[in-house]
Amino acid sequence: MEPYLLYRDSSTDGKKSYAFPRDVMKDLNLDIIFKTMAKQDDLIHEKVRRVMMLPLTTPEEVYYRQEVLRDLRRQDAMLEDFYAIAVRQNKALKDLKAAIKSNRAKSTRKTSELFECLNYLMQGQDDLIKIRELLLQKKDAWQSEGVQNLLERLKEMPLESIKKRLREANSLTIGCEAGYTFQFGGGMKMEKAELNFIRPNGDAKKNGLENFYLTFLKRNAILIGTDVTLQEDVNHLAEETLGQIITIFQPYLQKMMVFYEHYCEEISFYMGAVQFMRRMDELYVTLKLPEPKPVGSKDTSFEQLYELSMAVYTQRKPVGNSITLLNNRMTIITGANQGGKSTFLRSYGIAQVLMQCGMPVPAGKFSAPLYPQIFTHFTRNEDEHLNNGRLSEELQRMSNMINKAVPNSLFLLNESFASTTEKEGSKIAEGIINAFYEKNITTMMVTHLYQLAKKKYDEAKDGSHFLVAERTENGTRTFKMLPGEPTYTSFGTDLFKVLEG
Amino acid sequence: MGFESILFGSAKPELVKAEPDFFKDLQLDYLVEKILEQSKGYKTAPYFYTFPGTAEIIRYRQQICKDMESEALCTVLWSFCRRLAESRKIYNLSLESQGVIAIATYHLQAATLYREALLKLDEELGGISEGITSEGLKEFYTYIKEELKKQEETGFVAALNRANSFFSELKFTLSIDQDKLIVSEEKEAAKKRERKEKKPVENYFEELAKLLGVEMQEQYLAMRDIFPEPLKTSTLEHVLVGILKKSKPKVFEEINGFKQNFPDIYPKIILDFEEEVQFYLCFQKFRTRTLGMGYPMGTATTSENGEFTGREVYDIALVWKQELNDYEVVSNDFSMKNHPCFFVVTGPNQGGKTTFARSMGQAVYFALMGLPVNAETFHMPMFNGISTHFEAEETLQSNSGKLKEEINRLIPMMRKDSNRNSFVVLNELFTTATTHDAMIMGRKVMESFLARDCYGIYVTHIQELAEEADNIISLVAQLEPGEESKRSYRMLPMKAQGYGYSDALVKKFHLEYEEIIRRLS
Repeated sequence: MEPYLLYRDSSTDGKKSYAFPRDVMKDLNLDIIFKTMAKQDDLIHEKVRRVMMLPLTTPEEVYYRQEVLRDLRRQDAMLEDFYAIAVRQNKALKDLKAAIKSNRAKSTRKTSELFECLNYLMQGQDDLIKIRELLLQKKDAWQSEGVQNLLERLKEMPLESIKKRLREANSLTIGCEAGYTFQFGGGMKMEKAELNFIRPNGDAKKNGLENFYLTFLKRNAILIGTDVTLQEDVNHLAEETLGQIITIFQPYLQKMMVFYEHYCEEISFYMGAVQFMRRMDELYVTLKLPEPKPVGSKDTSFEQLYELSMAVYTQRKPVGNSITLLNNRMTIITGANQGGKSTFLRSYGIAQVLMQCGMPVPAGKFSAPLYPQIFTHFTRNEDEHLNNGRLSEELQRMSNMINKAVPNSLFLLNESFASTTEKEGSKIAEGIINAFYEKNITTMMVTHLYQLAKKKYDEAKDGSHFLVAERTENGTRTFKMLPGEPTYTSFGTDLFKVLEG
Repeated sequence: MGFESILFGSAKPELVKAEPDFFKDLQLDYLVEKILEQSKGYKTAPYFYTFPGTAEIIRYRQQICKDMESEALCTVLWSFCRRLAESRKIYNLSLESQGVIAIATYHLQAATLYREALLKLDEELGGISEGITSEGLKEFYTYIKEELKKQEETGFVAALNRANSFFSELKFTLSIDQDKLIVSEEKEAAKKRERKEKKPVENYFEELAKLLGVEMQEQYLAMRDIFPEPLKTSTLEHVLVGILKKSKPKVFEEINGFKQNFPDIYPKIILDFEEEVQFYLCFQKFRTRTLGMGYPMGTATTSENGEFTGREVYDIALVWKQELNDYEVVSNDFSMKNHPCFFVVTGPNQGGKTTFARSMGQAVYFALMGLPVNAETFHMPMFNGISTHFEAEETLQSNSGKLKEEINRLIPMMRKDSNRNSFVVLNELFTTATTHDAMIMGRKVMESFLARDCYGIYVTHIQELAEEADNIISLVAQLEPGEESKRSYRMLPMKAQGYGYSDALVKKFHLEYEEIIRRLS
């Protein structure tokens, strides 16, 4: 019993996240995207934050998710129904867990826990049936493997029979007739009791089974009547019976809890993705499902890629970049201050993260390798670090990342090691990126370290690329990145001139 | 001579009930507590207080300990004890119950469980009998076979089976409607079943488990212990028994008959075995865990010529106390070629002197118990016992009072004739006396023990005591080479040097004479 809407045969459990998700979120400004997806819904916000930080690492996985997303986007009214179930079950799950936790201390624990479990099971069972019915309503519309398989799995389950048993269990507490087979043990204690049937009050008597008991009515009937202790014993027996039934239901209950835990996460993710797509439509922002390439491939190309968080933030479509980076092993971006270098790097990172969680990307076309790990190492301008502490903080951060790096990872470096002299910074950075190059780790780096950039340009190693932020003759910035030789000045003086008036 | 005792063969001594004096000093109290954590509900501690006394029994036990290294054997014996305990628990219920029939049914159940426990033990021991080489366990296995045979010969088995077949008839069906109970007996149900040629009743729990696709478990099939208090009869049970008594009087007669004919169930040898075998089982668990922490536990050997040597001897109490701390306890080798002989250990404070002395004492104890020891190898003369004298840790007495107290404790240890050929651990005697006095007294104490063929180890800060003689070997606790503020916890035989912790500190802070001159220049 699993929804499997995010992966073909698993959930997010145990999936490897980005090694430093907080850095990725912060450096790529993903929070704006999360907010757009969640539309102030905490459940969606929580779930998309988690799911998006678990990168998919094969094209098949990406396509699986893209297809489910396409299906649910088309049936987005029904997605709302699925999401309503997710919200309800999320609450039921929380309530059950809280009840079990709070019951732990009480002496009445056992009894009340039985009822909590029973109620949860009944509600959950009803919703399983409901999910199946909803899926059946549009059964010809589902094209994705994910949704089709979920429907098939639900159809195969004996949902109604289980519901009937739950109803019988419930009747133990509100009135029923029950038949048992007993055996006595040492001390003439009831040692073993098997249950033969439960018939909720009001249900028609079935043939054979109960008749079989009734034939003995005259011989050995005992009236409970006003015998209070006997009545108590009988009630105790009924409760023990319920307890036994819930015990047998435990594995099913555990599965159901896991099902809904995963279901909530998965549906919340798609709900977030669809809300995001709707919002982009409103802003006339083009989104495209990207073409993922396997881990280890290096060719990267995109058209009209732009920075999404800025698009959302300014509610305008920013400048797009179209670039092809064959065998992208090292890309060094230099050029004018305020020329859009960081924005470009971020736009690439965002698109990469979106692709690796199965979402559409803000570009006319986007094709890139999948990376098992993406690291962002952006300069931090926080005031709390004094300059001499900053380099050590940066180096510490880099060292932590290198601890987690694997072959074919992607490093996005933004003005790293700018907190020391150019000479020192270049030396540190060169050692690092050379090692990355050797170890097949792709580096995309925005830098002011001219000496380093120039040296790498002259070396012209296979798979190294150099982009320069465009600046027209009169100093105007177009925010476009163009291939070219690293420039000596970052034209900070242009800005200085503007300030001088 | 048949099997009698797994701990003492046929020579069972009087058990020592109180913890021996040396237990605390060697931290054996802590260790025995750890060992016995595995054994709930048995009075095993006195077995750890009582030395077996002869080399023969030590060997008898060592053989058994060797056998016990087989996990399969331990499992078999643990489960035998568990089954036996379960049977005894039920038997005790029969003693505490009130009604005749309650007593008889508990008795029957206890006897059934006992018979099953023996059969199972016989079967399981048979499966691993090739691995059993010790005299004790071999004899025990033979004893079990004889006991099973005896049960057949006395008619116990036949009577048990007969009573049980009647007992199993006490099965019936009950249907509960809102305000009445309907009881029908299983026999009738069976007839009905035959007539209708289909199963009239289903096991609801089993069907449910199948429907849910959960893995079937024995406990799912039926509810148990619905009214759990074993000595109290619920109203419902009372009512139902009332009905059955009327309809099946013969069943109740038969069950009671078994109790009358076989009132006693367990032979004393079996009950003793159950308790005594805990000694080995618990120790084996303790040993396995110690090995798991990376420390050896070898079998001691007895030396005939008085030679006393050990390799990789370590403080096993320290090992257990540091289990979670990723702390490596240092082990030491030692050798006494002359005999009798005393080690005098000197060296820096906190350098592991006391720990080493304690570890030797522990190993001597385990060896004398016939158990594996806290060392890789341990070759030891057959000592008569162990005496220890540690400084009283806390005392409200004045200094002179403390000295008196120490001497008072020493006197019984040194009394003539008693305490011959013991192993003696002395830790920092007479610290409140002047060094000169302490030296003289200390030497006298050592001489007295040596005169009575005792071996020993004496931890002291008085270097003069460590002056070597034929039967005195000086050991020095070592510092880490090159890093003189760090201790290595290793003891090496060498001349006492008066090289303590303070020297190391002086060096560390460059306060030696030459250093101060240089710095001031």
